[in-house]
Amino acid sequence: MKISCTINRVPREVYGDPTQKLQPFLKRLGFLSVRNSDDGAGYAGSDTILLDGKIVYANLLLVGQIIGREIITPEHLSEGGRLSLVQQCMLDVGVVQSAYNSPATALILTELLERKPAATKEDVIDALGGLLNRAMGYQQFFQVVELAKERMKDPAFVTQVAPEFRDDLRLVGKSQPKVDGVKLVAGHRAFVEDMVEPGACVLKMLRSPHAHAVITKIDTSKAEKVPGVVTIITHKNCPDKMYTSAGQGFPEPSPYDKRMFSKKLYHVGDRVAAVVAETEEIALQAIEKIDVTYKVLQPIFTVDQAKDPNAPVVHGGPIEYVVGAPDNLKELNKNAQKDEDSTIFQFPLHGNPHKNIAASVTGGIGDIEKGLKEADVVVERTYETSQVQCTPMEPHIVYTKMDGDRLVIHAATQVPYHLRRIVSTLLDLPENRVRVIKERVGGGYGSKQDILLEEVAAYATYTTGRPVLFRYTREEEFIACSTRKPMRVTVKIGSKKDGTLTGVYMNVEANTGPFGNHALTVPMNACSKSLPLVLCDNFKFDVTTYYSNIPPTGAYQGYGAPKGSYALMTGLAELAEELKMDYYDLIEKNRVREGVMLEILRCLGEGREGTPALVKSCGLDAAMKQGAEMVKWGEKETSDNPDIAIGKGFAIIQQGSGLPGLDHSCASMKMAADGTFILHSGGSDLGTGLDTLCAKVAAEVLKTDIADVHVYSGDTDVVPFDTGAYASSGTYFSGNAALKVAEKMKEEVLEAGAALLGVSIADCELVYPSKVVAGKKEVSFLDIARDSQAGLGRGQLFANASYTTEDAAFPYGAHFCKVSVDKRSGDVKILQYFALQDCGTPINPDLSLGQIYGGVLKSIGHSMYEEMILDENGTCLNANFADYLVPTIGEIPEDFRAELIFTEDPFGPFGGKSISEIATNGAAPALAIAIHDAVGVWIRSWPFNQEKLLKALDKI
Amino acid sequence: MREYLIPKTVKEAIQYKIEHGEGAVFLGGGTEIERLNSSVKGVSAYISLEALKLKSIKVQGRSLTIGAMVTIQELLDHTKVPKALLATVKDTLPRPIRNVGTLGGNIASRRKESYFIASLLALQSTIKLVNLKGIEKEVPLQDYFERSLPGLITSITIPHRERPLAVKRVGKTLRARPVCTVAGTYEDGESRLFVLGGTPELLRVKNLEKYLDKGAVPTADQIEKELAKVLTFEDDILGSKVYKSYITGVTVERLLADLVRGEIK
Repeated sequence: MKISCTINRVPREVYGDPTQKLQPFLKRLGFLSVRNSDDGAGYAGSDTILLDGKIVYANLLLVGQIIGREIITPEHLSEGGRLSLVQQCMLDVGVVQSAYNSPATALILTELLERKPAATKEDVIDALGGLLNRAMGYQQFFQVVELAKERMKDPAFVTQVAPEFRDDLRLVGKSQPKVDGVKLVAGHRAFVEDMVEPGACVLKMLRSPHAHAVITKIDTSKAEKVPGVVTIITHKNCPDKMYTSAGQGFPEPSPYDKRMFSKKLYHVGDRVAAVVAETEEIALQAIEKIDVTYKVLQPIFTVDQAKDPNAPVVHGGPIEYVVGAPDNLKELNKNAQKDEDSTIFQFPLHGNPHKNIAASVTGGIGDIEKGLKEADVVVERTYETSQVQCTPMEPHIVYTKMDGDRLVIHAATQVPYHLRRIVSTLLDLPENRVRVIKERVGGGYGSKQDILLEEVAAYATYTTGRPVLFRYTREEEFIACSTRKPMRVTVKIGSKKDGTLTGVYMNVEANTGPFGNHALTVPMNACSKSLPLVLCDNFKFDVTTYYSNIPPTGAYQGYGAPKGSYALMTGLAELAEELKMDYYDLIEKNRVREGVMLEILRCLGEGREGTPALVKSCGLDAAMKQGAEMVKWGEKETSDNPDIAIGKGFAIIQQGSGLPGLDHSCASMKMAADGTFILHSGGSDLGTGLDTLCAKVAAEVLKTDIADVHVYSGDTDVVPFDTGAYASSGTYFSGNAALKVAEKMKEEVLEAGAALLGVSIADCELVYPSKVVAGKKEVSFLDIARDSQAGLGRGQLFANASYTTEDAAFPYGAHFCKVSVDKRSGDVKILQYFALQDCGTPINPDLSLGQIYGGVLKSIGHSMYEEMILDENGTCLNANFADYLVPTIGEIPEDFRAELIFTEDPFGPFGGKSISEIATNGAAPALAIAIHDAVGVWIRSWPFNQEKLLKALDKI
Repeated sequence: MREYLIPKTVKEAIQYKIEHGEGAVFLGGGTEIERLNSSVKGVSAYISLEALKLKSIKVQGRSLTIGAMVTIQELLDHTKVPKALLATVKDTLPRPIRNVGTLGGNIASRRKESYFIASLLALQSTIKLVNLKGIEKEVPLQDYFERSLPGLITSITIPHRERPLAVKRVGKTLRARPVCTVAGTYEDGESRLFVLGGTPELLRVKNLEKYLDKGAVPTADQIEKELAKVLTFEDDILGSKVYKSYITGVTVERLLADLVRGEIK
């Protein structure tokens, strides 16, 4: 049917199916910024367009509905190549982060300001009520609108959007539009989906309806005959190799317990067969024709079920070790099921899959028994956390193709190099025949640290020669992805009457689900990122991780820390109640301080022996004092409404900055012929601003403009190695690699400059802008570049750097909140939330604030609303945005503020420490403590929803 | 291959429906039909209502007649539409849906998550319904639901738009599916109270109205007892039946108190 309409002011007549959804139709017409995050749930807003001037969701409209009407897509805002006023304001304030729906956000705010030029905070909440943003917590959108209102009156209006730090530096510590921000906010080609070429095949997955089963028969013959089917992959024709999906440093501290396709199925949504076809419709049609017979097995879903001596065994195959096999391995394998897949440990993780244990560890310092015996008061409490999903707005996606005999993988990944290694190993290809190109990533939050779909598409491409697109549906994001591991954490804390801690014990029981990816490290992290917050001579911890048949788990921003922090800080608050002591005073008495040696870290390495670390910088003193003042700690507040009670809470938090001794980042740099620089960073920018950080650091060292340092990252053919973006390593490791390579380039430039000036290097210095100066003599970078690249010159200037370290830099913070609790309905409102965080020198202050707001709101979601709900068969009942309940702008705290606490750290680049993961650690304990302060009950499991609170209050 | 039909008159729309049978759906804004996991399945033809001129809002004395194709945002923007009718809408239904979703579509979808059904029933609304014989009749909205009347809604009339109305909606978050929506009117000693969300899905709670008719607010215990006689709930992802039953009681109590105190304008 001919569809007549106007798109971006241009009348068009295009042929289309009027009953097709509008979003894919517009995408096919080339309007790439009209994206899809929710498959038509009407929730996320990435598909927002204007229809006759009004904002609408393209996924909830049919093509027929636009006949004779006018459409505006986000592309229209920057037609002519210049960002619109609102787009520029978004970039200036720093809200363009993972950015998958930043173009839609710009369109919504533009429409708002045209409709209401004096838009209020309430208007902004109304306008953005239909948009999800997981990256930066909405708060800075109010600032964008205020800035836009000013610039509507005065286009030259400039304001400071975030606090500034380090007066001695030009760029570091100052806000700066992200180097990749223009293309992201304008909706240009940036994400994997934008790279897919015409003619690409589509891969769709047939998934298990059972949580625990064995495929006894599978017949794909009818499906193969469907015209347009290219290949079908099952357990019969996939590589016969075990691996882990965890994108961690090799050898991984995760068991190899996954096969690309297995006869045994471990969870609802597990892979049964992949169909690769010319179109999605054909692939789905073929999936319907695959005959599968299952032998259904008894599933297990909880730690208690997994621990039962008579429990069904999730991984019953042979246990193998690469190194460090235990002496009793033969005994362990006595009852191994030979027809099941093996579980291979790279080194001992103290797991026993035949008892459903994926990994375990125990450790401590001092004598916990003695410590608890010496205590006047001992509290022992157990806290539980639920399974929550990362929900990046860009679903998991990969596009694979052949380039001659080389495999090219366009990936939305946090770990390009680990991805290349895993695919190379599975396909028996040398690494130099696999190229991974990490495109811009529309949110990862940990879930894109795992290899969840890339290897299947890669195998399909490699075996057929055809380009393949594999994109998760939103449902697949929930049932076949990476989620936060549910945990049960028991703390036992002993204290003298005056609040001096005598012993702290933590027992972590984690549910890793069907596979052991991150099975050791996530639960260990619950200990390693919480216990060092307090000082005590006697610590002990036990960690055990169990297999089960829940949907897969893995990494999630904060890793294990949000769970450890919830248990430890709430446990300390419960101790304070027992001691009849102010919780603030208890924390102040026992908390970590600058200059202390954290001996506990000796036994908290990630699969290896740890190293004690000296706390060289700690902003807790300022964070606690400032937060207490802001929330008026100690002042009891009441409400006029007798049903409403007010309470306050806080928590101190910490994280790491990468993994000293494990992480490794590299960078290389070259000078172009005009004296500008190209920096190849191994780091993986996930939208957090890592490329911008690297550009800033290098430009600062080289006394040049940031525009004169172009950063290229994420392409394994071009950039040097980096372990990837996880464990809060970006600023510290990739940033330090950028610093180091810039310092090497500085030496090169000085040497070349000195030669040209005819002076010694010792007499030369770099001077902004872009010159080498020796007394009254000077030479520009331009002249140095021209000389070096002339035929008789010294040759192009290059530098390479590799950064590893044993030095640790810990970010700290204190989160304070005030809540109101409706004692009759169980409703909790967050009236105030103040997140005060020490990230050393905030290198990108504007982006850092967004990272804090985003982390806090994610953890508010986990604490208050979100949980994956499974039925008795293990099927997730809320695997969509409408039922899962990611916080919207309407759920943000009424008074929501992030504050950056400056500290001087000697190790990070210009003193920078990590910023984002730590932000997820405070909300759960702070809110639980505030709720208790309001109504006197302790909520010891996530989420703190109305029903749970009413039960605690004995109302139901 | 599905069809997309654009009738120019109501008569033509009905004719299309007859010709295409059960698989043909009237398409208002389409936000419910196109929604992920919509209950509308197996569509063979969409009958667009866009050209039928069902977009007027008319005030006559105390009554208000709203065309079925008036969008929810247009209702919000109209000064004569009772504010209480829309009290729960602005915070819970995002603007991109309000801009497209229609009042007629919301009613015809018969969802227990509806933002309007309980309120419109409390306000004793009627609808103009064109049946499959092409005959237009004005019928009480309550009949439309109770008798599952087929046909095309062309307009909705609220006979007493200024009657005091209170609406409350309970959900885990602003945009979450509600556990219940409760709406009531109270004027001159007469009340009407509806609960949407339990079993039966749509309930007029006459045994509580009698308290209100006497100007009294029943106690929480009385409400719980009276509701238990006529309303049950099931466990699901929104909560346990115990919780739902309790919270519905609290919500009804608060709504009745608001009505009696005359706090709802």
